[in-house]
Amino acid sequence: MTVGIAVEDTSLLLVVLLCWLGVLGMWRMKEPMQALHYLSLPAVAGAILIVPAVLISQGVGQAFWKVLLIALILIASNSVVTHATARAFRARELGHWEPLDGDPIEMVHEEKQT
Amino acid sequence: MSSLIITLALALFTVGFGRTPFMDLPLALALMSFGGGLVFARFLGKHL
Repeated sequence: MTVGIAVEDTSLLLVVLLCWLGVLGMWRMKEPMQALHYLSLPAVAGAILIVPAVLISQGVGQAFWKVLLIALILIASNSVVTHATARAFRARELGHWEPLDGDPIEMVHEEKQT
Repeated sequence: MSSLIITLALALFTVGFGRTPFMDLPLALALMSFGGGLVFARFLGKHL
């Protein structure tokens, strides 16, 4: 096994693991604001790691440029979509999204003591 | 989240099965999911 194949396999394995970690994190988090943080794992790290894997396996060709474009789109759009979703959650909870006096700093609800 | 995972899964399938011309599918999905995410956020804030 050459070094290139090892790097390619490791990168693809990490992409799959990061996708699973993001899904499990979103599933386990109770608050939407906490769950949104787990979007960044597959969107940023996963999208970045898939590029060298395709570069090694296919070389600099059409597939490489398309994967690079996909990674750039995912990285750029993830932050915008995450921010818009968090703003929508905040507007739904508080009725407004602007920070006003008396608003809770964190949108994390205290667990009820039993 | 699902569109993000499916985009990466389609890209991985394309590389894994060696069907590089099909790389257009995850590319189109990545572009469409941006608009879809914004529409979802708008709908979530106003109607849900």
